[in-house]
Amino acid sequence: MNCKKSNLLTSLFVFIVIHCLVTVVAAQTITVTSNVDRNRVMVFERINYTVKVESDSRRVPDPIPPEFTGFILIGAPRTSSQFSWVNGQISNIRTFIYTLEAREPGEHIIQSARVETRDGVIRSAPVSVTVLSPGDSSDRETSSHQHSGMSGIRDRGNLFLEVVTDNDNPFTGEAVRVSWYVYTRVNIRDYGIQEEPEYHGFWVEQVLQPRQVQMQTRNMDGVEYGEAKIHEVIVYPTVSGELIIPPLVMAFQIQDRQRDPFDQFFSSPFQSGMFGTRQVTVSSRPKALNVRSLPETGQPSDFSGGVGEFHLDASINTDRVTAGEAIIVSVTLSGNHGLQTISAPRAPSIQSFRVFDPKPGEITQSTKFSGWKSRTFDYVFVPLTAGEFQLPGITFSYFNTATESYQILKTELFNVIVDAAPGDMFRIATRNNGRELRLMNVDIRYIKTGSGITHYIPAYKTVWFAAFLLMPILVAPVVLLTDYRKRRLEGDSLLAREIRAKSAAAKRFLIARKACFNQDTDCALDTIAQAFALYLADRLGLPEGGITLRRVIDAMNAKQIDSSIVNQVKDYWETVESARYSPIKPTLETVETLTDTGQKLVVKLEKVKFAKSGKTLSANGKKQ
Amino acid sequence: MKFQCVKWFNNFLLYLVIILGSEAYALSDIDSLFAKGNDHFLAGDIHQAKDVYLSIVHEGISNDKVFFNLANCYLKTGDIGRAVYYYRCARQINFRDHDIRANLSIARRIVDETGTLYASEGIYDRLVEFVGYIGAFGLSLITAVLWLSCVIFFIISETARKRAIRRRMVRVSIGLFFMFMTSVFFLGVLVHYTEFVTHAVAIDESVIARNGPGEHFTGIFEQQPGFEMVIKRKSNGWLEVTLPNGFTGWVPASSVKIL
Repeated sequence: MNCKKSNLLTSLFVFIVIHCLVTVVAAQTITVTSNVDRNRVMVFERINYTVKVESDSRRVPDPIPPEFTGFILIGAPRTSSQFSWVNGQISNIRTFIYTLEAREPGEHIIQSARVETRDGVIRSAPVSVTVLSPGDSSDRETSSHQHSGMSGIRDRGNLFLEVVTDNDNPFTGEAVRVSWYVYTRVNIRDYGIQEEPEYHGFWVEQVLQPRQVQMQTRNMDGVEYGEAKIHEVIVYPTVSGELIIPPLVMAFQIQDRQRDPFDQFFSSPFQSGMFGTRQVTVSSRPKALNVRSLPETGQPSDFSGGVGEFHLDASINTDRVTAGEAIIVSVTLSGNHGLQTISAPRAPSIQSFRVFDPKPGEITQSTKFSGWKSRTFDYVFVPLTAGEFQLPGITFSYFNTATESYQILKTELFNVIVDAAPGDMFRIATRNNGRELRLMNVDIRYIKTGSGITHYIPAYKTVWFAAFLLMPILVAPVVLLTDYRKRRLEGDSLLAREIRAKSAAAKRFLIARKACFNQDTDCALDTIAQAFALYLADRLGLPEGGITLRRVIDAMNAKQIDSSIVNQVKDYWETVESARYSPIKPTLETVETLTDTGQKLVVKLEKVKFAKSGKTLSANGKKQ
Repeated sequence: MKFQCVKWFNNFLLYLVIILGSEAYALSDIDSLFAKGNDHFLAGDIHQAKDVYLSIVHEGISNDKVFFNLANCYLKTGDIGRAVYYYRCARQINFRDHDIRANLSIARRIVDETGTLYASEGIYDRLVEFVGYIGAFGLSLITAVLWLSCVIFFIISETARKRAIRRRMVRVSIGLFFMFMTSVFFLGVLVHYTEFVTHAVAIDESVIARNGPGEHFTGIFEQQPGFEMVIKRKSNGWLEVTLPNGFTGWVPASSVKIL
């Protein structure tokens, strides 16, 4: 029974505890506040935007930051938390610090940061920040020395940076010396640049500063400060308009107990045990420059881009050389600033000379002009032929800031004598400093001599090439057709005889004429008879042996030859036969006449196309 | 009729003699000019030699020897742009000539000191170098002979009585045909390079090549005398050119000499 009672009490206790906890959680209260460490800042300066989330429970949600219009967020937020439980009261505070850099001048409102809970969204109050441009002098005092830091520890009034320029209204490309001075009333043990400014619209040349700076006393508004130049650069504006030199952020190690700033600046580190040190971050104010553009009128075509004051000198290493050896003209350009940004003056071209691009030397302190620097450019001229020449002057154009006009400098002219080189070798000598510039050591191949200078026509444009290509195209069909005919003739003897009939008859008639010439009329008549008979046999496809007039006429009738032709053949045949077998020997003229008649008749018969069957053809080959 | 034919033939012979005679006279005249130019050159009077060689060129004579000697004159007088131009003219005629190649190489080395202009050589350039080495005459002769042989063997194969011979001849003619086609391809490359690709050489002192045909366009690179280039197109007195290293830009037509 007791046991049951005990269990009941335990359950009741647990229920009450759980109920209490749930009640506490349900009643969780959260507050969100936000603020900035300064409400007035300069462009490029940094402020801290702090969001504090306070809760009476263990769990504190993360805030959601607002959009930072006109600022950029630098890095991730830093957080800290504070927890306390006093008399059952829980206090849990979490702090989020956002570092912002001002970028746009004007009034900016940083909207509410918010925390999302189950009960809804809790917001902080918006914060107003005024961002001043560097040219705004109304808030000089409030925003210059008092804002020295950007985060954490700050030492207002006793330590600040000041930026000084030697020209607030420069031309594009003109050098502007920018110096940062530290003003201090505290002991500085060490310092260093924490953040190098990002220069937009400038070409920057660093100026080396001595590590041990010279501290001077400066009275400002009745307060004595130690003053020292700690950083310096030379900037060259590359564009016109208002350009801003951003703030320089420096970290200082200072001693807590103030001592004499003149003696203690950079005191020995061994003294650190006597005084506590801490780090202070100090930022300078941004500085605006009103950059003027260079005038377009009067600008030379070969304007070098140099702005400032310059001087040009030239010297020559020798005035007599052998062709192929180098002549070096050393041009020294001196100027107060900006020699790094200026390219070498262009080398002039000169006939009969090979001119190499100049190679710039190191920038050194000018021995001729105090405070100026100088740079030497070596121009290498290599004469290609012998003779007397005058090397042209080298020009340099720049914008003179003193007179605010363009000026052109030109070196003097040098006369040189070039002797012919043995073998006309193309050899390029070494430079003054002994470094070999170039050694070709090769000569051009000499001229071509001989005769037979003809106009060149590419072979593929010549007639013979076209003939070579066309000839096979023309010849091949002829050969192939000939071969085809030959094959055909070989396969058809009758056709072959028919085709060869005329030529065979012609040969025989020729033999007959020769016989006549030899006055052998018998032989001539036999040959004529044979020629005519064999011709008819070949044409009509009759066997050569035993050919008679009767068979010839039958064959001609069978082939439907015109009867007049048949009659002429019959008459001629009978005339020849009668002459052959006549007891009276025919005269030579008669035989010759028979020969002529026979040949004419053969010619006439050649024109007659012997039909295979059914059609009658006349002597002229027309169908009847 | 017979008399008239004889008369025509006589006239024809007379004209032939006059034409050939005048040709021969002109050639001998050019030969003597060439010899005169050579004498000036050897005597060290480069400018006189150059003028004489130029007079031959102005006669319309394209000859590798004349171009070569003229290029030497320009190289000696420091006019590297025209030197490269005439070396290229000479090489266009005679790819194989070692003297032309050597001097052109020297001129190119003077133009391109950094060795970046002729850094890249594509397959086409190497092919042109190869076919150029064979030469237009060689390629034309090989092509013509192969074509002729191909047709002859084809005819033989068609007219052969024996089957075995016929087959063999067919194979030979097919082989010859493929060789002929290869030769035609090489000849086509050469013809394309010399007839269809327009080459030019910069002769003016440093001209800025721009990204459009006009002075108002942005400059891309500086064209030095002696730069060899291929012309892509023309527009209003400007040429779009491509350098051997692939750089492309527009330059005034007057600043270059077209091969």
